[in-house]
Amino acid sequence: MNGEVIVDAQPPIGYIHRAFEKLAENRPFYQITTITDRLNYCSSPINNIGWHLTVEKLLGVKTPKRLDYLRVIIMELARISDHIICNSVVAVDTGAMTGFLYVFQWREKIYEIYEEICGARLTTNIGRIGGFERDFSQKVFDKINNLLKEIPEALKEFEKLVMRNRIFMDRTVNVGGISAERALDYGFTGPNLRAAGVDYDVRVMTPYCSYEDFDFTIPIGSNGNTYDRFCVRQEEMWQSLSIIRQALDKLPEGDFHADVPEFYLPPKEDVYNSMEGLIWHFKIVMGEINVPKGQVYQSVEGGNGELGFYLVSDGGRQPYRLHFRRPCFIYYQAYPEMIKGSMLSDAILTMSSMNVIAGELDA
Amino acid sequence: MTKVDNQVLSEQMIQKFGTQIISIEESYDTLDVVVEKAIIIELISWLKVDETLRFNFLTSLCGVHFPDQKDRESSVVYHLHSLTNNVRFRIHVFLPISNPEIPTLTSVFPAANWMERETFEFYGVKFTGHPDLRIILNVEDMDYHPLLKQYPLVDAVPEQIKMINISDDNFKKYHVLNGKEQSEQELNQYNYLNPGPYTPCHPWYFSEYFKNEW
Repeated sequence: MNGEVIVDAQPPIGYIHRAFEKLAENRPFYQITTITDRLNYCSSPINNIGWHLTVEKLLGVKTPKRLDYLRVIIMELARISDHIICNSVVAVDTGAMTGFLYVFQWREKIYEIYEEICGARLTTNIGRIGGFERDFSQKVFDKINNLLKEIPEALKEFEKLVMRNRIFMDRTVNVGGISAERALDYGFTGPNLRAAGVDYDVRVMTPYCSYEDFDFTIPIGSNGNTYDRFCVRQEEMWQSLSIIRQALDKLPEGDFHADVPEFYLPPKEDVYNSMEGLIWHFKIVMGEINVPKGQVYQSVEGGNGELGFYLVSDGGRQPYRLHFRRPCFIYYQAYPEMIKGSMLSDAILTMSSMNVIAGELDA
Repeated sequence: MTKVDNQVLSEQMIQKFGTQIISIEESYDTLDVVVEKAIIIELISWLKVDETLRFNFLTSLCGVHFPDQKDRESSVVYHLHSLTNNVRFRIHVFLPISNPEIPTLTSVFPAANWMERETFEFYGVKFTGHPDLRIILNVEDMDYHPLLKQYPLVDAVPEQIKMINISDDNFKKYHVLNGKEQSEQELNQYNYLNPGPYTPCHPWYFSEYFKNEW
């Protein structure tokens, strides 16, 4: 520090390191979902579904369209809740508490939707390998429709409060910028990379879950500064809303889970009442089913960027090695470079606009 | 411009590096390329700047431990991604566990900095030339590499901790109570309480000793 100007910085991390990669080597596949919850806990359904997709890729499961669309709906809801947290907290850090209070109730509404689907709110553990445990009830669709009707107003209100606000713009424009080239070198992904002007989005590049069926644009910024990151996130929420609308409109009839009795836990009625159900349940829980050997890498567009799962399987009931590519961990190392020469109060803003989530940072 | 796919990529790599590419396999639409340690930096920097290939994004870098493969126990896996061609592939380098040394990638991709530190911490792979090769996630004086397969996932109780190779000196260093070093006999009258998560990476000396009385 030189007065209030930052000369150099060192980020010490690891305070909530929980050895997830070691834990994952000692757990059967279906129990790892609970670990992924705790990576980016602001959008845990994306992590859960990302893990399910990884295993499904290893097994070569073909998923029905309805399942894909339901997953897309959930993932986009999660993205909205993630961005709501990030953007409203950026506003709070500039001193605008009101906007935060306005939009945070919508995050609550999204959590209520999760609750209706899987019973949990924050660490959702949503779905299973192969699909959801049950189809969405009418109540879920009602809640989603309600949300779609009401959330645009709240977002507009928030944007009116913050986006062209003189104080907010003074604090964020040209603060904590990074060039596109440096951002790529530093392994930026997600909104932070797009704010720097690179239109890399996993949903478009390597579509998963039938994302190719939906029509949406990738918002990009130009300078990669705090204001750009804010605007990119804000626009992504609108895009997510449009994706959810499209998914609801096109939602096909059919199964809500893939046809893989070897890996998809049968419903409890079957377990108690039919021989096959009981046998499959027993075999899945006791881990008596062979998994193919091989290595897969599957990535999903998480709230902060490309969340990747590198899975090495030796055919056992647990993964031989599971590596999480956590976007936060990779882009946080650019933080010292981004805040060098700026004021201390801007450093706080830069960090919150990068959306560094400790659970994902430390794994 | 020719479209770059797995075929073109593998042909170009073999043309350029010949026998130093040990094997190329394709699984799940992704190439698994095993290369010699000596060419790894040259290969990746060539892939990054080559006009047609342009593998300009390091997706991830991690280690894997295969204790059964003699002299190639440790492995480092690089995931590269060409954003312009949208091709991903993996590079594997195998190293002997007795001397796991590999040149650092930080000069090509700054993003490799923390990923290499993490790999060093978990697997003990030494990245030569790395600007700051320290442990990143765990406590600084942890002297073992927890993700190696010989360390089982255990509850952190003293007997088992001895098993996971903390040297005697360290063991004594942390058996301090009220600022005074304790002999093992004295320590026996205390119960061991670990308030944290039970993982081998958990710094067990954060735990506390309590007298047997309660």
